[in-house]
Amino acid sequence: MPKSTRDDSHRDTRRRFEQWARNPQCQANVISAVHNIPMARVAEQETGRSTMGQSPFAIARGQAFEKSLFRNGGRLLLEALKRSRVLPDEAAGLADFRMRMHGGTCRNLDEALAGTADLLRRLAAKPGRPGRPWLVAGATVRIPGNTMLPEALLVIDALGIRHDESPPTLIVGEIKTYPDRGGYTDRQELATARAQAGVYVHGLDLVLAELDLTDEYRVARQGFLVLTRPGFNRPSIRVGEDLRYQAERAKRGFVLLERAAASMPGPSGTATPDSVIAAPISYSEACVSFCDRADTCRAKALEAGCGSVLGDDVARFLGATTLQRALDLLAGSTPANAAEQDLKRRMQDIEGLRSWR
Amino acid sequence: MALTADQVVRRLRAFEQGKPLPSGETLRVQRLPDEQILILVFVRMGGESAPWGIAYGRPGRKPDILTTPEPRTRDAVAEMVAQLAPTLLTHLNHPKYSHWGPDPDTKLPPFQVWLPNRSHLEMLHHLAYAYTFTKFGERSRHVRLNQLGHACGWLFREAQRPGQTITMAATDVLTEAYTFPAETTRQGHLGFLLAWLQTRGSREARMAAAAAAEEQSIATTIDPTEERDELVPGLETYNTARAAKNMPGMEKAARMIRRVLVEELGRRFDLTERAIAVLHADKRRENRYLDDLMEASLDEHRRQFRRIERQVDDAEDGPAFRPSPETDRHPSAAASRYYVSEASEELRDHLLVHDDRELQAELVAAGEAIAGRIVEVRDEGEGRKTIPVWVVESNGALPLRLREDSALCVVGLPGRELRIRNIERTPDLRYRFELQVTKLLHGPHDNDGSVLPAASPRLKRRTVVLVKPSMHQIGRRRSFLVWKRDVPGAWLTHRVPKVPEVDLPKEIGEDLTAITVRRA
Repeated sequence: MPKSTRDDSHRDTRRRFEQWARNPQCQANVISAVHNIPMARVAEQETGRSTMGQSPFAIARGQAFEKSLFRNGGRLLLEALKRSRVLPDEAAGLADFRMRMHGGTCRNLDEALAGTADLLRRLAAKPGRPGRPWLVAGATVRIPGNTMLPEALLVIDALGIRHDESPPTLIVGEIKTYPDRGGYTDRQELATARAQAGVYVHGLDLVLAELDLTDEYRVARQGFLVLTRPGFNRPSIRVGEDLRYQAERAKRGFVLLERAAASMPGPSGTATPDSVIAAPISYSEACVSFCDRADTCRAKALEAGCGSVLGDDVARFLGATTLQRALDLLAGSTPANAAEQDLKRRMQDIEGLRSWR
Repeated sequence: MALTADQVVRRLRAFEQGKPLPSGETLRVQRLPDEQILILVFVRMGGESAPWGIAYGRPGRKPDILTTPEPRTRDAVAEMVAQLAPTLLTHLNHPKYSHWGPDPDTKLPPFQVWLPNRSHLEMLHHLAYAYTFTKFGERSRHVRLNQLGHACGWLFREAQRPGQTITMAATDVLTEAYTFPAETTRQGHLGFLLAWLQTRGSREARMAAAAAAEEQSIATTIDPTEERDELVPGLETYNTARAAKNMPGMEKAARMIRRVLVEELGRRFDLTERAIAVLHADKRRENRYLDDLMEASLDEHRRQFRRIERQVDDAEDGPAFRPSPETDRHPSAAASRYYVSEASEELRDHLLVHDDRELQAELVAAGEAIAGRIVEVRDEGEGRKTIPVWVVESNGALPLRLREDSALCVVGLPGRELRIRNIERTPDLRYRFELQVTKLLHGPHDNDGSVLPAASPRLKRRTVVLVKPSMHQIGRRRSFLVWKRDVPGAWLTHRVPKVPEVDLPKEIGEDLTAITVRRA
């Protein structure tokens, strides 16, 4: 087990997995995610500044909300989960593996990791034990294999355990601070939360297999999201979130990441921001929303004439053809191959309609 | 939504020319006089949904600016928001505030509320959540806040209705009016769009200006660096002084915070004003069917806002009840609003096209319309009965999504409808349509002679554009019918749900049982 000499805030690999998933085509992004070299650091070295900050107020609000959920043995969250029928009325008891700095009991992630594994084994050994917890805060698991370097740790915000089912069911929950606005809740935000919960579902599958507890538990394919009630500091539970697709996505992602990690030169800790800067890039529209290097990469993509500087739809439409070449074709150049011929025909059909007007 | 091939080529052309290009032959937004426009902008603290500051006013005038030092104090925010209420409610012609009186049937002049982008629209929804049903604080204040909550809720809901002309998010208006040579993701930033539009010079100059503008936040949230460097210290000082009951200290800190917020709000207000000015300076004419859309918006305003504020039931549009800000959970209301939305989309999509050749070209490119030439006109009627049939040929290389039996109408003469009898390919691979004219066979009643009868041989060799006719009346009719209790299916649309999810706290949920009792 690796000793916790690193800063624990950078060990939770879920963020890195999501970073990778947003643009897996970009080699620089893959190195950054696998080797845990934050893009903000790379951008600062490259240009002297980074762009993706987080609001200090939002961070504080998130921490305060999470603390309020788990205060007094998780009373507020347990009640909300019972009301929304995620847990039965008899549910009680919280196992808390959150860090002390977040109001929990663990000194570091290694302690949380050991505690989580121990809890899963104990509950499996004595299923009817009185005082068993129905809710786990900060359950921490390590993904087997070499998906991320030096390790792949996941910290699950909230994990419900239905002891009244046989075998007991583990239900993954994800806590977010933004308000639940019913049918108007931001779809992108919800999709991100579901994607994260899906990673946990797959992570739990792998860990239960490693602990040889696959038959002792069932990991539910439906999870729950804990959001806030608009204007209040109370939880709003979104139940029945289908995580099947997201878990499959995570499964495929982990395989690809493991391959990417294996193909990288040098052991863990040898990659530096320079390795990221030197790696090939693949700019896409998604980079704007998550990557500190988006401006730099866009400039490079523009120089290379990539269609992605006008958006992913333009890039798809043009295929391998550069922007300048596409404009040349529109101006009457002779196509050099079948792909260019097809592109020219499609563009001319559209332009033909303009002349008809 | 993915770009169409037409939009991709337009974006390429905009890139080639190094500047945004006008989209459409006509403008699809009404340019109202300044006094009929209210600009409304917000800022909020990261992680919070209540406003930290509000700026509002008419274009060309200095905005009124409201701020509160600590937006996590519910009472202080309520006090600030209550000050916005009279202006917003007057502008929206709330029955108690309107210069035109309370009668829901009064014909009102058009009006608009402009916001910088969609995040500001979301703030309207947050305000609806916070104040629609609140009973917090002194009575006169909470009544005013309730009214404001209703107004914000209606504005937010109306903004979701296709073709509405009242709630204008400036970024949406500009991206519809122009094609920008940039990624769609970046086009939600008003400063970015305006820099592209208003910078002079080369593509590189415009691009650099847009990138620089993009660095300053225009959403409701403030840049995290600015929050950390400027607002965190001020807020800490304020809260320390407040704990010590140090009034001068509190006032000093509040001034520090206000200075930052005023600057943030002012920038957003100024950008929105500039967006309106850009549209006013645009040389294109307005689409002549915009008046119909504005009429539909004012009709919605009358039925869904003024009528409900007066608590007047409507035989066609249901009882006067305020939907929860969360969703329209009452099944009849939900079904009715669904049909209204469907009808509105139908109206928007099939109306403006009659006065915009670029929109027509987009539909033709997508295979949803026919642009061709009439190669044959015959009359299959017997005796005095007329059955005009046209044969139209068009470009066979274009996609086609129309099928036999589809209904179409003639662009420029929407009343003249046709039905596709047969589609085939000619030997030279063109489309050949056989169409029967089904409506307006002889021309309109007030025909001045410019519209030929559908069976006239003089129509031969004329070019025509045929698009789908609007079926919006069907959706609108259904939205009325769904309120009826004595029709098949009423058991489903009139049953109040009993599941636990409908049991919402009083602050955010309408009283479903009371509505049902009233409707019975």
